[in-house]
Amino acid sequence: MLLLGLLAAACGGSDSADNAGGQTSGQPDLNAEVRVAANEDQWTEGGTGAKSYHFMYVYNVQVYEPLIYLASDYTLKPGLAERWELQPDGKTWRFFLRKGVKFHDGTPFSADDVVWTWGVRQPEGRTLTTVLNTLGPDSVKKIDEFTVDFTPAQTNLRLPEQIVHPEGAIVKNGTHNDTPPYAGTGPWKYESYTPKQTASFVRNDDYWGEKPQVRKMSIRFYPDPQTRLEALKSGQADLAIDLPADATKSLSNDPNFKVVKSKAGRNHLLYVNKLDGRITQDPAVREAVTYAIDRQAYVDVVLDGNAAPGRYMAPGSVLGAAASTVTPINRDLARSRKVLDDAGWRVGSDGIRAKDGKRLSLKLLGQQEVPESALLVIQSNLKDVGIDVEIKKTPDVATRNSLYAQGKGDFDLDLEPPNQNDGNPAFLPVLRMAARSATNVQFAPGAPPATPNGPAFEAEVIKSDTAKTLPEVQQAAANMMKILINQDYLVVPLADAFRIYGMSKNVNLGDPHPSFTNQTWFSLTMTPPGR
Amino acid sequence: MSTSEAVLRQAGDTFVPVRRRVFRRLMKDRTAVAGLAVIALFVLAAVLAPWIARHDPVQTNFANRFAKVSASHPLGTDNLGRDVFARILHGARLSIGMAVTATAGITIVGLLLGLVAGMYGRLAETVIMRSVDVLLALPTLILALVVVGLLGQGLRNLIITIIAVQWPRYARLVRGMTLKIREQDFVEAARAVGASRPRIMFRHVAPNLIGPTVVFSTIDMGSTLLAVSGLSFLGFGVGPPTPEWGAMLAEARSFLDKAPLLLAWPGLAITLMVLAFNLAGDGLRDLLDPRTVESTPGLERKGLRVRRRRRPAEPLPAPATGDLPIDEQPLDVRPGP
Amino acid sequence: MARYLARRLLVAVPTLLALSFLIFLLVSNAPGDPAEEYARKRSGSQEATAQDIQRAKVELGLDRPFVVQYGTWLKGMVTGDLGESFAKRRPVYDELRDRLPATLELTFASLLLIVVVGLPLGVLAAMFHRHWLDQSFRIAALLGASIPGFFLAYMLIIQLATEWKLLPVAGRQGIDSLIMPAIVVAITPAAVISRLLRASLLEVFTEDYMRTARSKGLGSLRTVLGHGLRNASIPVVTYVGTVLGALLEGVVITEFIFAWPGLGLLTLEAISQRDYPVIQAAVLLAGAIYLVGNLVVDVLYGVLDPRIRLEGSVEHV
Repeated sequence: MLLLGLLAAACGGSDSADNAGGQTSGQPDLNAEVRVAANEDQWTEGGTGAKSYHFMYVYNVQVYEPLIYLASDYTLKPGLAERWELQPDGKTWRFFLRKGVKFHDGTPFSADDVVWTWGVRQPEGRTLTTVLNTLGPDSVKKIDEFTVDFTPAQTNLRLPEQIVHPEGAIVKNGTHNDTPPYAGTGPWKYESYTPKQTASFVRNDDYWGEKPQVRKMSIRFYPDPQTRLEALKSGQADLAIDLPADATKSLSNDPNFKVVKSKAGRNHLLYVNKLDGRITQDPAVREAVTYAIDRQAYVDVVLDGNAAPGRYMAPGSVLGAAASTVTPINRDLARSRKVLDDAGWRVGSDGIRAKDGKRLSLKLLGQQEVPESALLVIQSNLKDVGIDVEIKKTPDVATRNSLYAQGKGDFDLDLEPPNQNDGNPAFLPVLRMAARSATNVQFAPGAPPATPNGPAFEAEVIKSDTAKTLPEVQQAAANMMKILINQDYLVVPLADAFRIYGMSKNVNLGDPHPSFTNQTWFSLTMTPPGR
Repeated sequence: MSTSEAVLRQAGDTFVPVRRRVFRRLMKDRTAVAGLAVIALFVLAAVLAPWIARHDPVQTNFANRFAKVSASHPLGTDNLGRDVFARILHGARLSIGMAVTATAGITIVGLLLGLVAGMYGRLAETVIMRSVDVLLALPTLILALVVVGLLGQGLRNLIITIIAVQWPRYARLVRGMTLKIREQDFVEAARAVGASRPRIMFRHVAPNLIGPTVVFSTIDMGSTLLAVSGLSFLGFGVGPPTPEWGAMLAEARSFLDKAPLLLAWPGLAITLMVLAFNLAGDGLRDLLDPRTVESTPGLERKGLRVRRRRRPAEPLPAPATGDLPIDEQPLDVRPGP
Repeated sequence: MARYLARRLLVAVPTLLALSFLIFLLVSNAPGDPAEEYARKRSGSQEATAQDIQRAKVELGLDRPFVVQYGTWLKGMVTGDLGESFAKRRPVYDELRDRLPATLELTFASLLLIVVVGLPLGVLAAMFHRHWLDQSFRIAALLGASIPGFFLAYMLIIQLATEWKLLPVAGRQGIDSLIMPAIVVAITPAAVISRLLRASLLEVFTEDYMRTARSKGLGSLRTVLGHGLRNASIPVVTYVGTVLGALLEGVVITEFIFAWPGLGLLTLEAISQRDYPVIQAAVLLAGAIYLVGNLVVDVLYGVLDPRIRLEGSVEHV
């Protein structure tokens, strides 16, 4: 009988008899409670150590607010800081704080709270980026009740872009994020939280800014994406977060639901390992890989069309006008094959190329959340030009990380969808490819920093550090990407993916943020279901 | 499957040469026959897979994803355009191969160690049985993770994991039966004429274990299959693109809306195969146990009023803690995940 | 009895010790460094420098030799301090305690189902022996024991939750949400128990005293229930003992699919994160429950069948 059910579902569409679709009556219900089906509760996993980051990553319902918000187009919006300016010494940033803001328990917000949060607090080993690490107790000074100076140890012109990170959300002087009653300044007040099961937040009616338009958000955590979707479809949730790409078609076809997508922001990338001894050190091989990938197929098959064919290394919108510098790459099998032929890789009897007795076989590693189909598409694409791909799948993150280990990793291609969660356009290229970055994908820890990506690349890195205006930074970042993607073929963009929310017809969420950690919920509304 | 142990315990009391009688009576048990037939079918399909399946199970075809059932694709295609029918068939190869190999391993290891423990007693027995105790308390998942982590993913290591997890149960069983057999007259006689222990072990004791072993192995293959599928489902099994039923099921989860049948085919395949093993094994069990009605010839169908059998009633043997029923689904019940 | 118990408990200790050592050995040799995992999480960008990792190592005590680490943990175990979770930086004891209610609920509900469904079916199958009903039950039971839990779970969800909207899809939210996970967990043991009971009852049918009881005219049904069950209960009790241990340890796949926050899921998470203290504690807990379950079962044997003498060794034949 259950089988018949499956068959029935296969033949017909789903038919949700309940909330008969149809018209919704227009006006948002300010008293509404939105039930959210969320993915796995990771409040202790996303942050920097458990105790101090309670709620930061729980759907960022902004119990605690940052000084500056990152909008969904990666521009900066004032948060608890109204404005900020670089001081004449070129190093100190002065933040002018908002007046008249109160914490949820009534305490007024002032500079002391900022100094505590950023300077004194030292939650266990907080590290936002290696640069930001240079803020210590003396780097953050109170000038007056509503003015604070940040003086990093080294010049950091990107400080405001980095400060948007939710880890830097302001907590009350002397407390931590997990100190009851969890009083922040944000638009939402904590109501309840049962780890791994549920969380709920209610509107802060005394919020200084645009108040949320629903009364309450009740969140339930569903680690399995399928059950999350089922919860939405069966009417047990009004909004489902981060649906699997494949699930969207059926929801779109159903008049009772709708699918809302963010701008492109999660870029699926292939990092290519060019350390000594790896086949991929040969630029011909890298070029061949780049041109053999069928990005459209990747988008269709892996992401169900919920992406643009990969072009950038970070969300395109963060590059602003400079985005056009990075040129799109279309699949060119002829070019790919020619490059390999010219380099001496001959096609063998099994369809795989070989040179000097060595078979052109690459090891492909996939990060945890990447679906298997992604790895298979790449394998299939590369087979078309005679490159064999051996897929190394790992059962969990720790195993995968151990395989990845910087510099010792036994892999040629690494499929990762990194996340850009601050406003610095150069964030990702610098993090992963700059010589100075301790987390460069190509280095063994402790090895002397060479410039494997060339002096041209490093010059752009320096430019991005010292540029005074945003467009200059954007251009530098774009130039970096151009080198990596279009010239050296060290990064192969696969897809620029959207994030997907599913919701009932009467729920609205404008402006979904490409970066989950920066998601805000101001635009969440719910209208009463029509009759 | 648990019944296998429960009954093996009983069967250990009498060891009669059962081969020919068993076969004839087995054929009378229709459901057992059905089970055997299904197994045979799967084996046939597995062996002939490369010829029956007209498509390569790992060949992707992005232009033809989620195709409906058709002549060319009897079960449609999956999210990458691969022929589901071919994948199921090749999956059968994998599953049967794994089940047989793993079960063989379990049987051999368990048999040897159980025999040694039972025959030699003292230190050997203590060491072996203590290890059994410890291993039985170990959750499968941890062991799976470690083996996979240390040795890498893949078929071989999966099989090793299963063997490592399951042999203790069997060893315990064998030891119990060995102890019982030791008391029998013919063994005493052999000892009296000065036969050495290994000789007794292999020539006298072991042959009497064949019956229970056959039952155990048959049913255990079902259990092994479930274990392997479960591990693959969790991501510990064979990697892509190898078609394995558990892994196929895991992949199909994401497409429950679009193509629920993708979930159904591997699920059904697993269920059917395990069922077949269970049916066959259950039938065998019924036959090999001299105490049950089925195994005693000449009984009439009288429902509740069963004729008295030949043997006088014996007290139930004191059950050993060790003679615990084996679970069908080690992954969901015991031990481990 | 007391001496028997004492001896059994005494033997359990080295077993648990060996188990914990084995686990520690295995897990610490699995690839993936908890210090690295910890350091990665600490850094917002999910990357860790060599210094970060070293710092984490020291903090977590992983820089000390293996034996020292194990010894420290053991000492803590004896004094009741289960240590602190690497991943969550809170006491392991709290972690376990948080998850226990969910596990207990699921265990209890499953046990209920197993007994309520499995036992009557077993009795019926035995009573209708050779009748077509017996065969049907047999097939049904074997089917129940064959279906993979993860397959059944999705089918139930689709049918009962999404199509018919009878039950919540997942998550722990009241009795309703307990039904499907309990079914998935209980189906195999229920099937197995029914077969066990049937087999045991049938065996007992051929006993002398059964015939005697029947000849006294008690009626066939009461005969079965009165005398047969008592004897048949032994293997059943044994099995329930095993199952109980397994259930309490947690059933990972079911918990994952149904978002049921129990001990099984905790173990899976701990393994993924190489959270040694939690893994140790969870495994030890499982092992202890298993051994206690065995003990209880053995004691019950003595109660159920006075002919069995309880001997001193852990197992006897």
